[in-house]
Parts: sequence; structure tokens; C-alpha cells
Amino acid sequence: MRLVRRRSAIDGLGSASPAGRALGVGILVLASCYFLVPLIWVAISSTKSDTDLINGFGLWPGSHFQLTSNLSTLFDTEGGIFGRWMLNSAFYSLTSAAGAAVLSAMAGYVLSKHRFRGRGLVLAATIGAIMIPPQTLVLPTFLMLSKVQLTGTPWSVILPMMVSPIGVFIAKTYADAAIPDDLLDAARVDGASDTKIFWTIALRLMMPAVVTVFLLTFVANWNNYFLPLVMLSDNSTYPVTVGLTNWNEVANAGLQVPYSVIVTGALLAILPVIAVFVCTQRYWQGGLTAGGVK
Amino acid sequence: MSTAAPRPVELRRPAPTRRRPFARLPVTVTLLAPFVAMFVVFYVVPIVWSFRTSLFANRLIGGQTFQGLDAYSRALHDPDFLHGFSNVGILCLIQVPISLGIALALALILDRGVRGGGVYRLLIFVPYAVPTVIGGLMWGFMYDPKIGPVGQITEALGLGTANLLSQQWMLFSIGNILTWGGTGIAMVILYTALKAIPRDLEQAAAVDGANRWTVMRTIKIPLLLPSIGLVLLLAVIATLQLFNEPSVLASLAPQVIGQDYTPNLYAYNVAFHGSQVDYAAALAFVLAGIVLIVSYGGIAIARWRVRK
Repeated sequence: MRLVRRRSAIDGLGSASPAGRALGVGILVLASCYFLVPLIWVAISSTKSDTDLINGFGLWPGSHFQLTSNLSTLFDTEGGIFGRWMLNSAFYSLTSAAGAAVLSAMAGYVLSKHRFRGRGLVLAATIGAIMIPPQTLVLPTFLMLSKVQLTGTPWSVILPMMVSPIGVFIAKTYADAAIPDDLLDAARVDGASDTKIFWTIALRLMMPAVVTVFLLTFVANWNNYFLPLVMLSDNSTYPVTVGLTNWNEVANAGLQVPYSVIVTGALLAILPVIAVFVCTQRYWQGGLTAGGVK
Repeated sequence: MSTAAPRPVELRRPAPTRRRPFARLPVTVTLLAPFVAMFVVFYVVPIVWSFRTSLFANRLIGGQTFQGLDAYSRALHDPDFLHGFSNVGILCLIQVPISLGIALALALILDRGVRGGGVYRLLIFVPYAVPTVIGGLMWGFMYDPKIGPVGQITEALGLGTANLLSQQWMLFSIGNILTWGGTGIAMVILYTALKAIPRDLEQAAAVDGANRWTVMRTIKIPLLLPSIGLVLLLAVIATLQLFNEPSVLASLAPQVIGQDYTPNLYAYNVAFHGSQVDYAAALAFVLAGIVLIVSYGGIAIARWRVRK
């Protein structure tokens, strides 16, 4: 009589039939390759010259290692505008992320812990707005901003992205869970003003949510294409997404910019966000769960 | 020791803990106002303004005239606009389920527990970090018969070459880019939800003799339905509003990707190349309306199913 059940029957996980596990791992490896291949391609292609790009096999290094010269061509082309684009992306993304984080934290906290007339309305409007994808608003916002002649300025890109309904929702949900009402009451009894309570107590407790909102907005902004495309017309104000795509169009029309430069530019354009994601994994993974993914 | 009769217990309800007036209104306003003000300016006003714009035709001849809802009926009958919808519609019906199916499969495999699971999760997720246009750009290069490895690989595998940027392949090629970039986030959401399922359920089922397939079918997937619904909804909303990938590939294959390839692309071109701002506004509203209908329809269906 079998006295000891197979381990798999007890914990329900872990060991399964070896074939089953191998299949699972195989699928994972296959999937990872699929997701990785374009990135590997970009990295390798950045080290090639144009001739190598055309002649060699896509995923294999070329005959010469050209990364440094590609990089220097990249930053020289058109008077170094690529560097400008990267700086623009960084500036737009950091500013709007900071703004969104602060605005969302304040609003989320108030919606969570304060009572006031109209609270329900604001909350409902915010949640309703989450359903509206930002893209829908780009053309209307452009129409509105062009009337006040704000289009073409960095603000036309930064300000709209500072409004983050989902950021407010994340902040509020987190504040609900992480800030005990008793703590606030105790502070009030001690005579702290509400403002002080927010800035010294609540904000500290809400930090993970604030960081999540910062990251989400940063990434959304860095990756944004449609909004800056519509709002900006001057080459020197472009973020790297718009600039690089512009070069691509130009290159496909047969003009100046070599493929190797564009590919190298693409590599540089994606590195910051990937780095940010990798380094901050725990924050946004935590933020997703706190955000109420039911 | 007191021998007196105990004092009768006060039966009066204890005075309610009087909270001080919860928070002073000025502070509330100060903290909330920035967000609300920006929200009004960048969400409410543009929508209202756009609607107003769509009501007035602005033509070189005749100046500005009130046209009521004419632009909207024009939009609903515009073959170019509808053509865009057929394209994104096909993507919604085919690409989205495939992408979600892959995400679900990967999430289930990872949830079971694999050595190095974290690494796989990261690798699968990384494409989401890539800006969609850059992703489109990269894949455009990879599809390119001159320099891309896709053609080289398929040839080596004996599958021959096809022009992935041709009319017949274009939707597939775009769908591939969308799957590449979007499956990661779906997988992460589903994986997170799977992790929230209490282990006891699985163990109880296992003790009852269920094998892993049964566990998956009867426990995990049903509990996962809300998250699946969420991911599905997000994917459909995003796909209906597709703009970036076709826009990037347009320069590579201008004869395939016309100005009306997707509804959003059409609205954009009408606004910026056709200079018919009023019509573009109407188009944007119709598209938004359809997205809203789909969203609320999806939510309503979900609620109805839950109630059953």
C-alpha cells in the first residue's frame, strides 16, 4: 500500500511528468527567442557597416566591428541632432513623469483620505477617464492648443502627459491600503496641520505607488509617438521616437541617412527604457498588484 | 473590598468618537486642484472643443458654416474610413486572441514554476519597453529582403521568401509586430493574477485526485477570467486605435499602406494633409464612440457573466 503520496499530488506544483516539464521549458525558450531576436538583431546590426548589413546574415556579426564608427556617425549626422533628440526625450519624459507623480499622489491621497462634497464625482470621472486611451485625445488637444498657440512647444507634449487618471487611481488604491486612518487621526490630535500630514507622513507611506506612477509615465512618455508627432513641427524639438522615424522615411526615400546609422539610433533609443524597466522591476510589479488587478 | 452593590452599568450608548471635522477644505482643494484643473483642461475641454469644431465646416469658399452633424453622417458613410475599420477589425478578431492565447499559455507555464522563471518573464516582457514605433522600425528592417534576417531564415528553412510588406502579407506583418510588443504585458498581468490564486485550492484538488489539466481547467482559468477580460479589453481598445506601426511601415510600402489603412491614420491624414479639421474631429469622435461602445459592451458582458 502506498503510504507516501507522490509529491506532485501533495503540492500540486513542481514535479510533473518529465515530458510535460520539458515541453513547458521548450515553449518558454522558444518564446524567449522570439521576443529577443529583434533586439539581438538591432544590437548586432549596430556593429555593422552598411555593406555588411546588406551582404551578411542578419543575426551574425559582420566582418568588421563598426559600432564606434556607427556611433560617431550617428551623433554627427545633421549636426548632432540625434543627441538633441535623446535629450528632448529625456527632458519631456522626466518632467512629465515628475509632474504626474506629484499630481497623482496629491489627488490620490485626497480622494482616499479626505471627505468633501463632490468626491464621488471626481472619483467617477477619473475612473471613467482611464477608459479613454490617450490617443483619442491627441487630435482634440491639438485643436485646442493651436487656438492658444501652444503647439510646437515642449509644453504641448509635457502637460497632456502629466494628467494621469490611472496614476491617481493607483495612488488612491495604495493610499487606501497603506495609510491607516488612526495614524492620521493621531497626527491631527497632536496638532499637525493637514498639509503637514500629507507631506511628511502620507507621502512617505505612499512612496511605492508614487514611484510606480513615475515609472509608468516616464515610459509612456519616452515611447510616445503620436502626441509629439502631432504637436511638434520643428526638427530640433522632436523626441527620439519621432526623429528616428523621420530619418527612416528619409532613408527609404533614398536620401542621406544610411541604414547603419538608423539601426544604431534605434539601439540607443530603446536602451534607456529597457534599463529603467530592468532596474526597477519590483516597483512596478508591486504597483500592478496594488493597483487592483483583480 | 467594596460590598456595596455594583453601580448599574451605564446603558447609554457611549458617545460616538467625534472625529474632528475630517480635513479642512482649503487643504483638500490645494491638493486636489492641480490634478482636477489639468484634467479639465486636457480631458474635458479638448473633447468639448473638438465637438464644437466638428459642427462647423471651414472651407476656402464660403468660410465657416454651421453644418450640424453632417460631418458625422459623412464619416459613417465614408468608404475609406470603413476600410480602416475592416483592417483593425481583422486584427482584433485574429491577432488579439492569438496574442492573448500565447500570453495565457506562457503565464500558466511560468506559474507552475520553472527554474529561472524570472529571467523568462523579463525576456518576454522586454519588448513592451520598446517604443512601438521603434519596434515597427526594427521589424520593418527585419522584413526587408535586402537586409533583414526574416527572409534569410525562411529561405534557409526551405519556406521560400515572401514579400512580407506586400498587400497580402501586410496585416500579418503588422499583427506580428503587435504580438511581439503586446504579449509581454498581457502575460505579466495574467501571471500576477495567477499568483494571487491561493495554493490551497490547487492542493485540495490535487488531494482529491485531480491532475494538472483538470486543475487548470476548473480552477485556474475560471478564476482568471476577470484578468483575461481586462487584458482582452485593453488589447481591443489599443488595436482599434492603431496608428504607429502602419505609420512607420508606410514609408517602406507606400503603395500598400494608403492614407486610410486604419481609422486613426485616416483621421490624422484628413487633419494634416487634407486640412479638414472639422471632418477629422468628427472622425476622431466616431472612432472614440466605437471604442467606448466596445469597452462598455465588454464590461457589461463581464458583469452579466459574473452575476450568472
